[in-house]
Amino acid sequence: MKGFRCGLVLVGLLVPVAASAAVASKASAASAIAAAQAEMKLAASMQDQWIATVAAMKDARLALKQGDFAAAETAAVHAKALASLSVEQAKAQRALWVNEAVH
Amino acid sequence: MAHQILVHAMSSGGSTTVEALIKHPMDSGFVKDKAGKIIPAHYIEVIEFTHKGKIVLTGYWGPAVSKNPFIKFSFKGGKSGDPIGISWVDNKGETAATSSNIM
Amino acid sequence: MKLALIVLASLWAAPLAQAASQPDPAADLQGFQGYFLKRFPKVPLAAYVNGPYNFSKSERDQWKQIIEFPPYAFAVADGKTLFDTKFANGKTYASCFPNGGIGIAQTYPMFDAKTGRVVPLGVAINRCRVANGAAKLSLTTGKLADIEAYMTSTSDGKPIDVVVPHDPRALAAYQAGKEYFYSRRGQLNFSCASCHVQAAGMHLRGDVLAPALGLTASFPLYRSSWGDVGTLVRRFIGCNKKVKAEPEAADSTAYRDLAYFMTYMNNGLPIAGPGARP
Repeated sequence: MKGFRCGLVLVGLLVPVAASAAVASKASAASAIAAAQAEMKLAASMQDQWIATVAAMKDARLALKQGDFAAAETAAVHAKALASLSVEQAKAQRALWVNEAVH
Repeated sequence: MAHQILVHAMSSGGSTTVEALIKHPMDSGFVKDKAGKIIPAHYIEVIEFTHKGKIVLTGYWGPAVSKNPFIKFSFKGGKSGDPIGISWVDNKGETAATSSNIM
Repeated sequence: MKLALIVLASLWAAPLAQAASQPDPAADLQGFQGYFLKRFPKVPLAAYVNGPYNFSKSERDQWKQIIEFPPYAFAVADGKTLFDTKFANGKTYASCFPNGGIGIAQTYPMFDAKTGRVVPLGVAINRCRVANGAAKLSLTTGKLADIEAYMTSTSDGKPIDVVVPHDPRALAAYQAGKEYFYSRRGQLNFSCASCHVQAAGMHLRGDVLAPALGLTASFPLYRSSWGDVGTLVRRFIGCNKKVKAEPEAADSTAYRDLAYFMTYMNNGLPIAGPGARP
């Protein structure tokens, strides 16, 4: 059981490359969630929030609540990446939508 | 409003076509509600159509019949103005009946 | 050659930029309806209200049998009962609408100059409830959909007549709806137009995609996959989820504006609601 949990932590560390090599703490997970939250707010204001973003955020919050900070940080980074993609999409569509319009 | 039955009966060429739409939940007893509780079975067991008081169709229905069932059949005979009666009994002992005239 | 291309591109871009900055609903309407009429010359304008049934004989045959005894009949009957039921203060829904609420569904969504927002029929019904001391209803399904189904049934066959007044706020709402309609969103990168303009009349798995022209005319409608009657907003939410985008709130400005644009594009087509779809 101990070995299994250790493996989980390792996997958690491998994915968020941007994060420093330090072990995920409650503070780092919380700040990752806050960063993702800000990006999601921007995506929502551009009327383009993805379902996957919301699902990842939900996972992050649940993991944080359960004390699994590595998983929380991973999910939050994932949510932020998805939210950034949807923001990029929405920004591009501000100019591109005209091409689809029939006149 | 609770137990509605809508009937149309048309006679042509010596036979009468009857159409009926019956309002009924037809719960199979296998479905769960949002809280995860099983919705108890509630379905029509016997449905009878009469023409001038004489039974022209008896249906033995069960949980496999859909919600708000629709039935269409025809029988020999029947003139414009003849009364058509419908009644059903469900597994909870509830009943409903209505009558209409052939158009 | 390259220079010529750039010049061409800039010439091309200039009118587009102008079109985006100055909404011209009447011209859009002509272009929109003309696009479909040219693309499907065999389908007459008024037939577009029957959506997918113009493009699939088997679905059309099934639908003809279904509407011999329409599955929304209970919803219309229940809606009439609700519509005629008095509020606690003794007034009815009829007191909130012109002509007692009968035969007016074709004028919605309506621009409300007082609040500067678009008011679809569902929102108008909820407003009436609040004004008479009753609680708001869900805008997607249930009692409100039934009332809407009844009110729409009293407008059956009347030409859709949505007005975009010469008010900058109304034009802005129209333009926002247009942009929402044509903007791709969600993880699958689809716009409303991807399915209902570009792929109109084609198959999406077993279903035929209805053209955007005539799409709003048969709402609220009974969908066999829903098993009951739902409103246009319910469909918006469903479509957004299908392209993996989070739906907006049912009474959000985005959905109001979208309904405004889409219904305006159907101006002149007869109301065919409530409808039945697979």
